[in-house]
Amino acid sequence: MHFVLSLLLLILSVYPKVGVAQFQIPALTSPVMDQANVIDGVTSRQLSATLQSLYDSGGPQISVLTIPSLNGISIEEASIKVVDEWKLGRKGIDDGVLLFIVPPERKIRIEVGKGLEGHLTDALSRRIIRESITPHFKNQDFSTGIRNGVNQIISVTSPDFAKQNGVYAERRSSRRNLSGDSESSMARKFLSLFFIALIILIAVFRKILSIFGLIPRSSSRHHSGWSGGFGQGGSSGWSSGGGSHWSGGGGGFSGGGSSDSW
Amino acid sequence: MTKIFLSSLFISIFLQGCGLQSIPQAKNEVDATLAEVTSQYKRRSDLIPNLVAVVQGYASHEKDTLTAVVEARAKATSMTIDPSKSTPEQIAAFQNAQGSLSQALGKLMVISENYPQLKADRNFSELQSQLEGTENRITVARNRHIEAIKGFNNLVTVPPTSWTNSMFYHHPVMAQWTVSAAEAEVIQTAPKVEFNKK
Repeated sequence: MHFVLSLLLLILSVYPKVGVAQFQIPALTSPVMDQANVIDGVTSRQLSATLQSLYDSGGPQISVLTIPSLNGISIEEASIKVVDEWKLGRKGIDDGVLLFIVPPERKIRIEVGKGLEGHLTDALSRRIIRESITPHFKNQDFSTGIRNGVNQIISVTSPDFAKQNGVYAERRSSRRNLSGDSESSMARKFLSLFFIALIILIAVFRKILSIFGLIPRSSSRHHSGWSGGFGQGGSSGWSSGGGSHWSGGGGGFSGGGSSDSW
Repeated sequence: MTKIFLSSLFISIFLQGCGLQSIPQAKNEVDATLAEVTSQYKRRSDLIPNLVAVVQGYASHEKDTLTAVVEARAKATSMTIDPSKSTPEQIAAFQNAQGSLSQALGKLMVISENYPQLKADRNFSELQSQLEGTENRITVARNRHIEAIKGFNNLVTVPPTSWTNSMFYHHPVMAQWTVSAAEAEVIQTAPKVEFNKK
């Protein structure tokens, strides 16, 4: 026991880094980390789901972080610390984006991963902040501002995903959004009906075949294997869609983006 | 068999902990981060011609400030360093040149405050945000370079890796990247460059 204690003391004395950290970086557990409590629950859940499915579909990894205080350092310094720790975006592709907001200090920054600097330029980040986000912040409407900002970032970095999922920024929302939505939902309904019909047809066909003895009698095994496959597909779809797995993919940042205050 | 196993285990631990691998790796890291610093400075120089052109359109009689920027840029771009074989003197000269460019740019941005039409120009505001972004990239790259030098110097000076260094590599302790006097002045006036909305 004494030995262990002295060993611990020795280790502690060799590593005197255990000090008071001035700026605490929260652990990354969700796409929307609302430490300052300014985003309403519905918006937060919607954004999380959208950002998760964007990342799962091979898109960029975008996260939102709000904190109550910077503890005296600049927002640029804090932001680069956060992304160095979180490593948003895939390794080598470096497609991470952090939307970082400090509401009490009226500071905001979009930190852009190395791989996205060509799309989401500094100037464009600045424009998104000034035109889509901070006008709402001035009215204390953080949820709308953040939602608009995230939607803009998505439509810049992955326009295809934005089109497919009806992610539009508010400015040109109404008409396009409606038509796009109804079209895609119609298509989806039609597709799902088609698949159900196909599955029923196949099942009926198999039954008929097995009755006539054209398929070996061990149809139970067939059946279980088939349904197992289906179940697996379904469950994996669920877990990736609604699961809470959100951690950095190893992306790198070099300080691109823009900061502002409102 | 166990002898071979034990000795290979010993050797692998020895290789990992002694610095045979980590000292050259740290040296490469220092070179890579220095290359990043110079490339970000280059990015800044590339922005300047457009910036000067836009400012000239609105504030043509601020000739002194504009020529100062152009001259400082010319001096800074004439000075390049090869990261893998740079001498401390070269780096100091490079820092000085970039520092005076930072200073001249800082003055230019302060002056631009006096021209509402310039500030309202879309090109100018885009260039300004690019310049701010690049200054931030320079800061980030510089901090990473400083960290890399620190890591390298730790390996070279702190046992047991320092013993390996004195036996095999003979790397001297690397001079830390310092902020030149001209740059320090800019850093102190930096808030004027950033967030200059109203």
